[in-house]
Order: sequence, then C-alpha cells, then structure tokens
Amino acid sequence: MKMRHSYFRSMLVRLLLLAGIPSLVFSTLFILDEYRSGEVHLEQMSRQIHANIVQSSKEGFLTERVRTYLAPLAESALLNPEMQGVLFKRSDGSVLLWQGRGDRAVQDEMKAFRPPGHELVQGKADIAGRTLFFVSGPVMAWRMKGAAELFGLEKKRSDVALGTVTLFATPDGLMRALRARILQSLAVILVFLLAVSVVAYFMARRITRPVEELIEGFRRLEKGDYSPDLSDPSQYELALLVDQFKQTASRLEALMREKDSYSQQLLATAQELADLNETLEQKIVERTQSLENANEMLELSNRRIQEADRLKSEFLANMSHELRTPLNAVIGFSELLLEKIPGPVTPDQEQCLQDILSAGQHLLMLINEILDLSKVEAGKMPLSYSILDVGSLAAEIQTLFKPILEKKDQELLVDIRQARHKVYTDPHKLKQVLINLLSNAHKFSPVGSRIWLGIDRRPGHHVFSVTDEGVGIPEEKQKLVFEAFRQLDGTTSRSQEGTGLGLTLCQRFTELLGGVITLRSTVGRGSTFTVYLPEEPEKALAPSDVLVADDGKGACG
Amino acid sequence: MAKVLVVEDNQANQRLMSMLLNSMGHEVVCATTGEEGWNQVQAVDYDLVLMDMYLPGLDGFELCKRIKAASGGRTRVVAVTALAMPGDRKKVMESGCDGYFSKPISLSDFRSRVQDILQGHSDE
Repeated sequence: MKMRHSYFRSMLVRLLLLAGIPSLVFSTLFILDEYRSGEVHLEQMSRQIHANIVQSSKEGFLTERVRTYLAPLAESALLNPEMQGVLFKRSDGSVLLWQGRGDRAVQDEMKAFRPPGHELVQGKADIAGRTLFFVSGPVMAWRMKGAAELFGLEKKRSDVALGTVTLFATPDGLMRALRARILQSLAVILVFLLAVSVVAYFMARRITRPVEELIEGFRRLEKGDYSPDLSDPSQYELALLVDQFKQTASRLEALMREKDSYSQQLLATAQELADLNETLEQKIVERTQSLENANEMLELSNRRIQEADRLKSEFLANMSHELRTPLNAVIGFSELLLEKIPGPVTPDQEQCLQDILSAGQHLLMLINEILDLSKVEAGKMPLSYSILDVGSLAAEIQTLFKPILEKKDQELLVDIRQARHKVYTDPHKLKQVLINLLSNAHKFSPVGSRIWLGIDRRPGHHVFSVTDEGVGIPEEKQKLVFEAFRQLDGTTSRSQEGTGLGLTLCQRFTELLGGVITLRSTVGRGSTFTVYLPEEPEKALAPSDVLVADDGKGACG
Repeated sequence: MAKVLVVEDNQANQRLMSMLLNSMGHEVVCATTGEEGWNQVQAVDYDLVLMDMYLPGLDGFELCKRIKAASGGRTRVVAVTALAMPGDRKKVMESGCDGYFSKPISLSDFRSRVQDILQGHSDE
C-alpha cells in the first residue's frame, strides 16, 4: 500500500527542503570562504614573522650566541598563539636552537623537520598526525636584505647560506573559529527552519482544517446529521468544496427524507397487506366455518329427511297392517254370511251384508292405492316391461268388466284401429290405468249408457282412450281431477263412489311409463280420458307432443 | 278331514278362521299366543298350523321354525298375516312357511289354496 502522508507533513518536508538546502549551501560556501581567508591570513602572518626572524637572525648564526640573538626572536614569535615553534638549523643541518611549545612528541618531530632546501618554502606538513603550517627559508651570510631582494638573490646558488629558519604555525585557532562559525550558522538555520515549520503548519492548517471539518462532516452525514457546523474557509476552492458539500448534504437529506417517507409508506402498505391477509384468513375461516355449519345443517336435514322418509314408510306399513287386521274380519265375515254358512239370511240382511262387503273392499282398495301412490312418489315403484298384444289386453278387459257393466246395463265398445297392434310397456301398470278409467266411466255414467275403449297408434306413440256418456266434468275442474282426494262434489253419492286416488294413480303410472294423460269433457255429455304412451319407453312424451298430435277426433264414437 | 291349529291373537279373526275351516270340514283348535301355540303343537300332532306372524311373546317366525324343527317338516305351516308390504311375502316364506295369505283373505282363494297345501302341494 502506498504510504500516505498528511498534507502538513508533506508541506513541511517540502518547505524544509526548500529553505534548508539553500541555507546549508550558502552557509557552507560562506564558511569555506572564511576558512580560506583565515588560512591566507595565517600564511601571510607566518611569512611576515618568518621574514622578521630571518632578517634578525644573521648575527645569531654568525656568532652562535644563541641566547643573545636568537632566543628573543623565537620568544617574540611565539607570543603569537598560532605559532608552535621556531627551528634554527645550521647549514650542515644540525639544530642551532629549537624553541617550541605543546606536546613533547610533536615538538620532537618539529625539531627533526628537514627543510626542503636553500630557498623559501611554505606549506603544510604532517607532524605527528597533526597538520601544521610551516615557513622555511635560508639565512644568507653576505648581507641582510629585504624579503623581495632575498628572493632575487636566491637565484644565485653560489651565495652562502648560514642556516635555515623554520617557523611552525597551527591552524587550531582557525579551526576553532571555523567550528564556532559552523555552530552559529547551524543555530541560525535551525531557528530559521523552525520558523519555516511554524509558518508551514499555519499554512497547512488553512487547508487541512476545512478538510478535516469536511471529513468530520462526512462522518456525521453517515450518522444522519445533514447540517454539520462547517466554518467558511477563506480559500476559494475549499469554499466551493464546502458549498458543494452543504448542497449535497441537503440533497442527501431530502433524498433520505423521501426514502424514509417511502419506507414509511412501504411499511404502512406492508402492514395493510398483512392486515388484509389476516382479514382474508379470518374471512376464509369464517366462511369455511359457515360452510361447515351449512354442511352440518344440510347433513342434519338430510338425516331428518331420511328419518322422515323412514318414519313415513314405517307409518304406511303400520297403517296397512293395522287396517288389514280388522278388514280381514269385516270382509271375511261378510263373505261367510253371504255364503250362508252360519245360517240363512233374509234379503234385507243380504243387502246389508253386500254393502258391508263393498265398503270393506273399498277400504282395501284405498289402502292399496295409498301404498301404490307413496311408492310412486318415493320412486320405488318397480316397472316390468314386456311386449303386450293390444287385442288380448282388450279381450281380458272385456271379460273382467262384463259382469260389472251388466249391473248397470252398460255396454263396452272396443275400437282397435290397427291390426296386430303391440305395445312395449309394463302391461300390469297399463292394465291398472285402463281398469281404473273404465271403472270411473262405469261409476259416473248412467244406466244403459255406452263406454268406448279406443286403441290407436300414431307416429311415436300409442293412444288409449276411454270415453263415457256420463255427467261430464266442468272445464274449471278438469285440471283438479288428477289431484289426490279430489272429486267433483264434496258430496259423493253412492253411485259415484271412488277412492279419490284413482285418477291420481292413473296419471302417476302413465308418467312412469313415459306417457301423458289428458281429459276432454263436456258437462252433461260425457268425458274422454286419453293415455298416450311412447313407442320407445326411454323417449318420454311431453304434453306438447300429444296435444299437437291429437286431432280432436280421438277414438270417441 | 285335517287337524288344524289356528294361532291368532285377534278374537274376531280367530272366530272367522275357525268357522271357515269348520265349514271346510276340518277340526280346529285355536291358540291366542305363540307360547300357547307351541304348547299345543308339542301336545297334539297337527296337520296344519295357520298363524299370524305378529304375535305377543313368541312371534310367528320363531314359532314356524320351532314347529318345522320339531315335526321334521311334516306339519304344514301357513301364515295368515296383515304383513302385506312389498317383501313381506318373501320374508315369511323364508322363515319356513308353506303358504302365505295376506289379510284380508278372499274366502274362495283361501279354500282352494288351503286344500292344495293339505294335499301336499306347496303354495305357489
């Protein structure tokens, strides 16, 4: 990862480099220059002192009165603290006088110094690890001249040299001054750099403070504080930045508020949805409950219906049983008495017995018809289909009715329109219907009247009609005759006795066989009951099928 | 002439049967309950037993079974009952009866069929 430094630090480093390097360079140059001039000064001074000593030392060499002539020269030279020693050597190289100071070992080395020749030499020498300046030159025998002249003479090697004088000087003072100057410079530079740092710090602060504030602002933004306290920076760019920040923050605040309100709405909607869901579930539960209740009610009522049905059947069975037991005695004894088995009966008694017998038989028929009707209505009436020959049916009926009709001097006229007419139906039921209709015709027709049984075949169905010359049925009551226990008059005369269930059963049986029964009648002239049966039992007829087909002629004579 | 036992709890019907059978020339004994009838059958050897099916105590169905079991099927048993609903005849015949008359009886029908049964013909 790349190292990142604070703005202050990088600015400080740059400023320090910018200010420090030139200062150091200039100081160094300045100090070096000063050192150079110090050296030059030391050299000049050394040369001056050396020249003075050489000029005044000829007497001493010549006389070798060292104490008198040479020692004072050396001592005076050594008054200068930079001077380390003065060495007087004879021309043969032996030491005439050594006058020096400082370390003994150094002095010994200086004493042993060998001047390079008979000319004036100036330089640096390494003496016992120390760098010393030296000036060395000959002392000429023939005369004492100035230094310049001395140089000119030196070209003449033939001149006699008395010996050499060597002067040692140390640069220590110079070095001390140098060191002091360096320290001084460094101190100044240091103070200067410190000042620069302070300035840099304050300059950096002007940049970093707003930036830090911005950073803090961002942090607070993150925590949801959208109006952090920001001071206006003086720098144009930073001011722009802060302004932009404030704008962005307020935009963000607006957005967040919007988001919050959306969230709020979303939560509310979710809550509503959950509530709705709950309500829905509640409703489903309620609805299921009510359905279950309804189901239970239905089952209950079903059970009740079944129970009622069972009770009805039971009731009918009981009724049948309880009525048959006394009827057995009534009918049985009537017959027995009529057969005169117990003994003779008078004609009046015989008539009474006959009435008892027919009343008993009437009751029996009533019971049977009630049972039949309830069977039909419960859908439990069994049907047994077979092919019925119309001719034999008519013959059977005629045989059956002959004795009955004779009692009223009535005549049954059978009119079979189609030869070899056969019907596929339940013969027993059809016979029951026709017998019932003929019985009615017999009952409701006057003595000596005629009754017709017409049998015909039309496309799709068979027609059986029973016509009488009886009292007839008023039109408004024609629809009621098929209803149970309906008779024309509330008062029934003996001759018009019926169970009141006969026609109802006729209609039910006809419908069971897929047919239709109709009635046409004129009061005072007679009635015609017509039974229409379908050719195919499964194709049940509708009233409209037969009303259109009936052309009004019927089998009525 | 046959020995006939009539088991019938209704007095009028008992008398009717009795008169009817007498007129046919049979010897008739009457019992009013199933138990009474059972005692009679055990005491006397009857040719024919006519019985109502709904009897107080021991009913006709059970009595018929006992009689048939005791006589080894020799004694004829005929039901004369007010049970006339669909299925009743089958129920009665299944209990072992040789004949079934539903009340009210028709005298001519009764006479001819009883004679048939006594002569060993089974009823229908």
